[in-house]
Amino acid sequence: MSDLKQMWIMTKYQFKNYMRAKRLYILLLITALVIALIVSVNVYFGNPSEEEVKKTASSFANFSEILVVLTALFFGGDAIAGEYQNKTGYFLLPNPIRRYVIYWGKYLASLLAGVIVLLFYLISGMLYTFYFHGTIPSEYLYSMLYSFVFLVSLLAFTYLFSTFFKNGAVALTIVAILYFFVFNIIDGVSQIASVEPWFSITYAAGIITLVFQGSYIGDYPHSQVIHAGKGLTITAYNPYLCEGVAIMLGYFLISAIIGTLIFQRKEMK
Amino acid sequence: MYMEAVNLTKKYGNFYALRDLNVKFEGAKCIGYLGPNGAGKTTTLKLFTNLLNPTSGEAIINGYNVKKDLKKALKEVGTLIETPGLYSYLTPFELLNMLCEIRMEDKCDVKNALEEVGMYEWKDKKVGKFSKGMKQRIAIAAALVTNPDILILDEPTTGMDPRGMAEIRQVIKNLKKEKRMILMSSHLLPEVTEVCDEVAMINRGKLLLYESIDKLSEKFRGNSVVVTSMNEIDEKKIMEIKGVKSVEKLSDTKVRIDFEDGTEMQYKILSELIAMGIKVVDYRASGMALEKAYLQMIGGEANE
Repeated sequence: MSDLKQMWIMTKYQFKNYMRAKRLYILLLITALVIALIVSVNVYFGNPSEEEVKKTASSFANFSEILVVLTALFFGGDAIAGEYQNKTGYFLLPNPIRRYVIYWGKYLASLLAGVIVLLFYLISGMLYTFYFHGTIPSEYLYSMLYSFVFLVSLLAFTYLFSTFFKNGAVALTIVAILYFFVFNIIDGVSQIASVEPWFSITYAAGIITLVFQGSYIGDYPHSQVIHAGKGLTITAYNPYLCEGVAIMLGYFLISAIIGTLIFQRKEMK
Repeated sequence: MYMEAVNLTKKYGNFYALRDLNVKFEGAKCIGYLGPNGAGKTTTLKLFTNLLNPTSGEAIINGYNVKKDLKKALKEVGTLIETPGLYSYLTPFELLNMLCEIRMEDKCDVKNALEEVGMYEWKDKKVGKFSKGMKQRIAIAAALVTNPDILILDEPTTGMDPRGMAEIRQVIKNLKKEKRMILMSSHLLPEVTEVCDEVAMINRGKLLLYESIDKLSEKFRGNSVVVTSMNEIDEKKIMEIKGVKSVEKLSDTKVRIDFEDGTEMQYKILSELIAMGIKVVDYRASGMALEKAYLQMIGGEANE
């Protein structure tokens, strides 16, 4: 019970950090600019009221994957590493509070901040879709749900890297490189090698937009062989919806266990 | 209340930062923890505060192993390790309240802790803009705020101006009166002499000495005095005094006299000097017992 209470206190002060350091406001501002951009481009170059409702809704879902990455980097990158980098660990750690309580208290604050940003974005998308069509497709709600699952897992993955390093900027850069480059390269190589990249979180996150394909939810091919000429074939894989969720939850579980264990043993030298 | 190290060892690769430390600090007193840079002082304090994991052995506080029973072991411990970073987005008031909340402590007194270190008037300013000395004061207030029985202070006056140092020493003296145990590492021998009751010396990860300052003073009492006179001193005449081993002229009116052991002898020399017509205006033991002990114990080790 006291551990839970301490965890809540950590969450409260970490969240205060996001407010005072203006990180939350900055990310909300960036999100607002993106929303404005999507709406203006769609309205200026297209005719949302004439197009299919799923297409209107998916125009918002496309960016939510990137927004989750930004959120994880903003709130998770230096959450643990910062304690070592700024020496605040000397203030916080020699107290009667278990390390995992600190770790998960901070994680919950990051998650809360991330949920606020994501909700702001996705509710804007809902309102936009509803404005032009008077309805919100169920695909959009599924996409929202998958976006939150992705947030939970990517944040845990970012926290894991934050425990590896003693410098927040390094942790943040590594996760950004991993996400934007390494995983995409792995996905690409897997296509050429005809191996399903079930171990890639970006592959799993694809379900956020895949849900809009086909005539019903989940109506898309799991794999497609494409002949690229000169005998070269590429296999494009799409994760099943439950498979995508399972991969993301797997990332969450493994990151959570390893991250907690590392922080438990990590020293302030 | 007590702190005990049982075969406490910390090893980095082949280097022993601390080797088989066995010591028990017990009761309401101030213990000065001395040693040169890299001796193992901070390592010991970090092992007692869960900042480092021991390679072997145990750090025990009030009967609880710091690694196994962290919450019980550190419940009555206030700490200041190195110069801690403070969350720059918080005010001193919020920082200390945060600690009180985390520690779920009902005997917190934020106002008193800030007043003790002279920072109460800054309570609502964000600490990000504070100087190093001010931050150190806040860090000391953080160690005091829950009124812990045991205080672990790692060079508490680091980064402070002379007035700040004197104030913090006074704070520590006051804490002693409140029946607390204070384990304080320091490089400053006069500071330890002034504030502490006992002293532990460590070098190369090994405990060399643990003694009360009184006993240490007895052991390492100085056998030389520095004499300052209003008139010129003739050192040849002083050499004629029985028991004087040597006289070193420091200036026309100042000499250092080495003599055979004993406070009786020290008094006798003063009487003889006055009888000789030397107008003595200052007569004091040359060097401190603690300094002598330190140089003998640590200096000897260093020369090995």
